[in-house]
Amino acid sequence: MIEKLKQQYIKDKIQFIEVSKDGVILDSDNNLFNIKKGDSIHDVHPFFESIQYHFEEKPGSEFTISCVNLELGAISGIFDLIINVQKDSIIFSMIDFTAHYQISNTLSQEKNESLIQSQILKEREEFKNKFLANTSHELRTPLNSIMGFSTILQRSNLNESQLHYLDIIKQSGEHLRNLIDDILDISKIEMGRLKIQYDRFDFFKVMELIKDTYTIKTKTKNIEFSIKIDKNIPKYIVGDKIRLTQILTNILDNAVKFTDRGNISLNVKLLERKSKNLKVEFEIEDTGIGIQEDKIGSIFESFIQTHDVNTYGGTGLGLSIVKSLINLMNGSLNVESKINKGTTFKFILNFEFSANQKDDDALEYKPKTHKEEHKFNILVADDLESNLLLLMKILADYGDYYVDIVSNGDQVIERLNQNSYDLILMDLKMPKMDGYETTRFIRQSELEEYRDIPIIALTANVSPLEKEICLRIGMNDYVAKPFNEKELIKKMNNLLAEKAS
Amino acid sequence: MTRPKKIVLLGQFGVGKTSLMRRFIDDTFSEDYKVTLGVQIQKKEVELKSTKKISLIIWDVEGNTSVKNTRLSYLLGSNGFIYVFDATRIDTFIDINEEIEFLKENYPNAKIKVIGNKLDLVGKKSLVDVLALKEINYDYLTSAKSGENVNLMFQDLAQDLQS
Ligand SMILES: Nc1nc2c(ncn2[C@@H]2O[C@H](COP(=O)(O)OP(=O)(O)OP(=O)(O)O)[C@@H](O)[C@H]2O)c(=O)[nH]1
Ligand SMILES: [Mg+2]
Repeated sequence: MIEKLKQQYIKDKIQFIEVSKDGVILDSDNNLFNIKKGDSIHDVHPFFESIQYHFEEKPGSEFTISCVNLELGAISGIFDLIINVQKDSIIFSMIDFTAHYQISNTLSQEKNESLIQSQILKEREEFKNKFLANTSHELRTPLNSIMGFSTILQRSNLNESQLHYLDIIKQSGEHLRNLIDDILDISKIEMGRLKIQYDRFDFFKVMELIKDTYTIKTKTKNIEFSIKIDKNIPKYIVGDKIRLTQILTNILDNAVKFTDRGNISLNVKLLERKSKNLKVEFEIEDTGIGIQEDKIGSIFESFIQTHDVNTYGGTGLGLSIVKSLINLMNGSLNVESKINKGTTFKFILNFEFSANQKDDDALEYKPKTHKEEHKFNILVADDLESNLLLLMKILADYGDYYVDIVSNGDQVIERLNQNSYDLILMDLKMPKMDGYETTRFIRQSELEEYRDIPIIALTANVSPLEKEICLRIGMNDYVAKPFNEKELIKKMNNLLAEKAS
Repeated sequence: MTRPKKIVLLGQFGVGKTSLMRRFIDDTFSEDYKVTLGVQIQKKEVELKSTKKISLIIWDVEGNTSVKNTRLSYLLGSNGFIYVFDATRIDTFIDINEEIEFLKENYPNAKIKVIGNKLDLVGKKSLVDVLALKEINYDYLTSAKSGENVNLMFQDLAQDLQS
């Protein structure tokens, strides 16, 4: 009985085939499918042809190949194959596991589909953010020219009203630049690429700057601005000076925007000091139009504006950035507001006490003058003519440099062969060889005088990834467009001085 | 005529291994995703530059997060590997250098091609993605959907196997 059952079970599950070493079928029980003795197993399915190498193993060896999809004449299925190498022949045992494998198929299908779906969603979210970052990057390039040429124009002979118009152009440009920076910031925050820097800085100096800025900004609107700072806060603390300034200016700009009479005050208190750790509270109070109670919750969402866009303008990103930055700094934030009475923002940030409380102005940058007889040879590579002109003009005005210009990487190499340069300013996006390739080429060059030329990247895209890549491929520094003239000159001079020493 | 060559398609789930094989063998494409279980095998004869012919027997293997998890019996005896990644999903090429190193070390005689598939979707991506792609060494960007570079890539591999 057992034998009979066994036969029945095996009958439509296993087929045994014997073939010669060169693949001629010697015998087959044709349990699953029909093949003819004397035919070549290679013609049954290419699978057999591709495992020919097993046929040559030494007699007695055995191999298993699992889960093989095979179409064999009338039948198709998923098989496990056991290959027995004999002295003069090969024996295949083919076991039909189709039903068994089909179960795991459904599972894999679902698992893989959801995995891929989640990867695509993640990628799409990143794409959105990169798109924002990229668009703002594209906007920066023309803005660069507008701002730069306005500065140059300001130095030419203009009459009073022309200067006034130019001032308006520059202010609008500045405003546009802030909006673009906001968009860049928010996309960086959403991509998790914005990192808080912890550096020692002079807290009172930062506050002084805020005071000056908002005293001027409020004067034109006839509102009062007052600032009170707790004297117990140490002069030098450790934290992110730039982000602190950004939080304060975003909130204060809002306050100025929505307040037409009365006053705005900033009150800074040291809440707690435990060993090195400092807890500082900032309170910004205005007597402006206020926020409706049911809208307070949504003021921190990206692109949401509670007030009429046409009257007040803006991207609606300022407060969203504030909230994200405070979160990144492990702080807390609270808002209270009464319609037509005013709004109070209160936030608490953590800083560290700096062990070094000595003033060290010496550490600060002092612009070097290169008014000696020696001028530096600078090569500028950028495919945009307006950028080239602008850089030419800036550098010419400083009078310390001879400037050559080219518009792609190939030309950079060409020029290097003809001339020696002290420094290269290089755009990253150029036709033919781009800035990355050109830099790689220069850094891998055989010639020492090539390899050591300082290169500053001119980049509109200031993502940390971009910066990282710039430095990794051997650039010495980068300057973001639109250029800050002073920053550019400072970085150039630093590198030139370093090279000279 | 030389012996047929065994080529194995490797790479993570859904990168388009089966689609590449289909494009190459039948010149068809389907948007539907049907997971490959185990391995499926197809054969095609390719004409070389020298007008000689060579047969490729292609093993389209199920997707795996790493080559190291692939059944050894699928890899043995291969003359060539095509490692496919999805150029639009960073997760499918983040560890690619390690994967290729592993193959080179264990199968020193096999020819390897590294392929970024779904090229038709890449153009729509932004600068940073292209930068991520720039950081890795691939031999071809292909599209099983449009057919771009698919034959070229197989042809190139076949040529390598000949010499
Ligand atoms: N747009 C586009 N889609 C593609 C391309 N290649 C494959 N696809 C799609 O991607 C999905 C997965 O393709 P498959 O060929 O099944 O992927 P696979 O690598 O064989 O997947 P596994 O067998 O699970 O490892 C399918 O929906 C295909 O239609 C391509 O070049 N372009
Ligand atoms: Mg597949």
